[in-house]
Amino acid sequence: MKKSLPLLLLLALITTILAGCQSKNDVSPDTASETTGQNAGKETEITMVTLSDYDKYGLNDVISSFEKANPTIKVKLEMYPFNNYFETLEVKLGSRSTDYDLIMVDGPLISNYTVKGYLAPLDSYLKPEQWNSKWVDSSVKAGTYNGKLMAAPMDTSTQVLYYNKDLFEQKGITPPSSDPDQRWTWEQVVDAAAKLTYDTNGDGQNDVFGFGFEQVSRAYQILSLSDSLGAKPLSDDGLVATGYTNSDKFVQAGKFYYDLFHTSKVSPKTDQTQEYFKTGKLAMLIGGTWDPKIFAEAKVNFGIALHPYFAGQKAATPTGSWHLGISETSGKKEAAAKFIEYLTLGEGAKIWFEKDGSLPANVDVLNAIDQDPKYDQFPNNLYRIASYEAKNTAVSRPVTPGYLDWESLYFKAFEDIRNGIEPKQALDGIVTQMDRQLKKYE
Amino acid sequence: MASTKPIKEIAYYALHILIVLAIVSPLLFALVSSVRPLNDIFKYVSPVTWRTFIPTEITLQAYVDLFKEWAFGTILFNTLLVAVATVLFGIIIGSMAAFSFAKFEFKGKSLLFGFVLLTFMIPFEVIAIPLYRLIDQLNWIDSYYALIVPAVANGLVIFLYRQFFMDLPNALIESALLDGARWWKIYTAIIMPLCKPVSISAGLMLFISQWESFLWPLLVTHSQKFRVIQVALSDFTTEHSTLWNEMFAMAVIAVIIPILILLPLQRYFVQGVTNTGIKE
Amino acid sequence: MAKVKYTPYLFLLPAVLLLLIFKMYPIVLGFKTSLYTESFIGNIESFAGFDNYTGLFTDTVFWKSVYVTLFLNVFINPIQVVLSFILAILLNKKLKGISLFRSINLLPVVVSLPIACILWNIMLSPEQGIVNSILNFLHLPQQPFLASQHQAIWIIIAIATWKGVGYWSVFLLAGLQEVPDSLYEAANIDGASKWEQFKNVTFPLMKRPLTFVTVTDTVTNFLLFAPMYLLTKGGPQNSTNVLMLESYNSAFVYSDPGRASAIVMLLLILILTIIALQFRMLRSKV
Repeated sequence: MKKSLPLLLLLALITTILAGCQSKNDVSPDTASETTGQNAGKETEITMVTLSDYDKYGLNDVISSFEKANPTIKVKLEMYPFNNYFETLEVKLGSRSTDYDLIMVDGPLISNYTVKGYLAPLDSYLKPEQWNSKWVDSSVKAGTYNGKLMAAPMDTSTQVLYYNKDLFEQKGITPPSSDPDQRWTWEQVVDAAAKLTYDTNGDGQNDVFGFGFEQVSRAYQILSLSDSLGAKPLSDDGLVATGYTNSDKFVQAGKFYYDLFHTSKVSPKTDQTQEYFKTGKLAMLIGGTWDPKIFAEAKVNFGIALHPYFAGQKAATPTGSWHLGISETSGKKEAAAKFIEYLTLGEGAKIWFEKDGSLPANVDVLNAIDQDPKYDQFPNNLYRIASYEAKNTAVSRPVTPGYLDWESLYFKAFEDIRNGIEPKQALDGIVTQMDRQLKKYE
Repeated sequence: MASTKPIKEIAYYALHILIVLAIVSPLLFALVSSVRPLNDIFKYVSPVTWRTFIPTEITLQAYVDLFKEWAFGTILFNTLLVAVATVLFGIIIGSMAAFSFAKFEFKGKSLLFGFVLLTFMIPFEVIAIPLYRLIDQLNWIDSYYALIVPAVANGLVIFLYRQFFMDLPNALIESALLDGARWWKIYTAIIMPLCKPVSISAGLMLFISQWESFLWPLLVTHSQKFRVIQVALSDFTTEHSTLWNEMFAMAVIAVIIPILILLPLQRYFVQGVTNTGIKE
Repeated sequence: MAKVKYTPYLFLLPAVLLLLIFKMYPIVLGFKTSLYTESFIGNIESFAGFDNYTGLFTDTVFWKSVYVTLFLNVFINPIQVVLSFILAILLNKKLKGISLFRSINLLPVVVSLPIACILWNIMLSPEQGIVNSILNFLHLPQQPFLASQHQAIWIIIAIATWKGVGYWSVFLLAGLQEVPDSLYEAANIDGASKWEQFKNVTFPLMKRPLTFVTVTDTVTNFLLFAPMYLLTKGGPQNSTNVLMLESYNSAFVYSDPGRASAIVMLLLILILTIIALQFRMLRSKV
């Protein structure tokens, strides 16, 4: 008996595999119910693909109140880690699986998912008059491709300048301002940063640094430099980088970035700038509306100021965030659209903002922020500032089906600049690679 | 002669300790960070002082949270179940195939062996989409089958066993055949018991391949019920921040468990064919 | 021997069946993908013949990746195999507590790769990193490590070696255990030197485990791209942009599965050629 045990196990295994192969040809009960589930009076379950911790940030609250209002629809979450979210979507959506109905997508990737046929247009479910004046312009622009609404904005974002009050006080420097009329210039930031970069223990290495970007070399934050100079990153059709991503103004922005690390040396050569700010090793940090909670937990004495701009140029701030779209292969588009409407236009928008704290894209919720006295004082005044920036200075990232291609090459070029390659050389080198990748979308 | 031996031994020990230092020092940071309060972790990274390596305030909160908030028990169970099942089936299937390659002459042998070699050169990332589609069609998404079955047949394991089987004397098999033994019996009763050290290596290989597996479980499972350790580890890096202490705590446990499993199995290493005195 | 007719096939059946379903079938589809390009208008795939391949030959980024892949492998494979062999010999010594050392050598093997990369990144940070602080303390010049296009690839080699040597030494150790003591005793009586013992006793008996380790290690390193993906994204200046990383990016970033598959097909041919050479060399040597 003992001898035949492995053989039995083996047989069991092979039987399972063969049984599995067979079920390929069967119509599974799941797919059968998908087609009928919608019009029958019984429950429809829709599946939403989202990020790992989003159930903790209030998505569950939105869902439970949605399910109360729509008792026949149940929303199930499938959550994936942030670092591998795009690869996961690529495999799942690329396989044309029918298991997903709602997809949370990053704003700039909507065009790419549209040309690949991953997303179903929302126009037939959400009428333009319903949302036209309800979302901020930059979010409408990001969610639309070829004149069709492809994904509705869940929220948007902006960036502000955080500073460490204690470090500014120690060095006797006046901190930056949160008044739009006294917005600091980049030149002021670097001046102050130079005084705030120093060696604490006399070992010849600086331990405190003046300034850092939270998202090192990422287009989301770094584009604000070239945007402030009025440089366009791509041609209008979004398919040419040469002459744009290496224009003189772009190189000038690159030079500013280079100088932060190699000339004035006010920025630390680390990816962990948020951690540096949290531990009092960084005096100023460009970061998002999610940061105050983290800084408060780390007991940093911080202040909030407006995002800087170049002297004599215009103020430009990063924007854009997550949208919600319907999978082209979904068999329950009607029910999925109901949830999108609830989350982005209905009651859900308020719940989502209250629980998650991301800057709303919904104009009604933004207006409520402008009026509610709760947002007069620090640190809640952050949302006042953010709301102002979203309406006045926000510049969207370029709309192109090749955004992911362009962004990852942009990142490589700015990482090279950070590592000491001449900005002109780095950008001239990268645009040919960008154009090669963008060409296929023609 | 007697006096040189201890000197030699001391030299060996010194060498081993040097190697151990090179291996362990990067891991020390993970261990130290896992018992620090979250906000202390990057506080002492720079400038480098003794505090970088020695925690001044110790807390086991991260380890407690792993079980309380992250369902680490389930995660461990899943990972171990998947790894052990893969080892068991993988060893049987792989050694059987290797036995055939090492001890039989048959038509298409080199072609089939070339095929086996080819299969372990295929990078998983490239077959991810077709393989995902296949598993989806089999209705295996979000099940243990999806995690175990595709990993059971492993070209490397077959190759490893084959290399060792070829060293076994043919006389052993011939005499058994003369005694009237069946091939299955020769494989189970003679060959496999002689190959414990190889089986340990092969088992280790399969175990580690599952223990380290990340992209595949991420793609084919999505409910908490089937979370495995590497996917759980990646959950600590969120959109806007990283839960360093819990991540390092899980990483420390993820290192200790395979080592603990391996420790008692080490005695099989020294029970090779040599000790049975069969090898020519 | 007539009854042997089907036996070898029966022993092979389960493994071959599983490999066919879960490895061969997807890679055949992968090869098919390499013959198609995606047209984004109307979302149809169109047959492109060998366009994806010929496109690569005029692509400077691809040739740079070929160079980086070969450069990496010319150094990393001999380094890892030799170090694993030395480590296996050291671990084969009959010392008290040797099993503890054997276990410790497996620590880096079971550390998850992302964690290992985070740890090494902190150690090797260009400013304030632990290694640079030590260099500073010793009054030696600080190094950019991963931020330098000349050093980055060597840092990757070092990290992969740190993680891999313990693993490969296990297989060589298992092989060394099989070398009977009696052979060494006989060699001792003959008065052979340590080197002669190694050359005439150890090495010939270790040929099969060595072939295994050399071949598998080579394959593993040709496919290695996770540390580059996590630490350098192929930079600085594409100096760590190996073929697998370029393929991965083509599939998941550049929306170009045809190019991704074509790169892997060429990589497979490259690996097969090198493996065939290794088999030949290890067979003909002493």
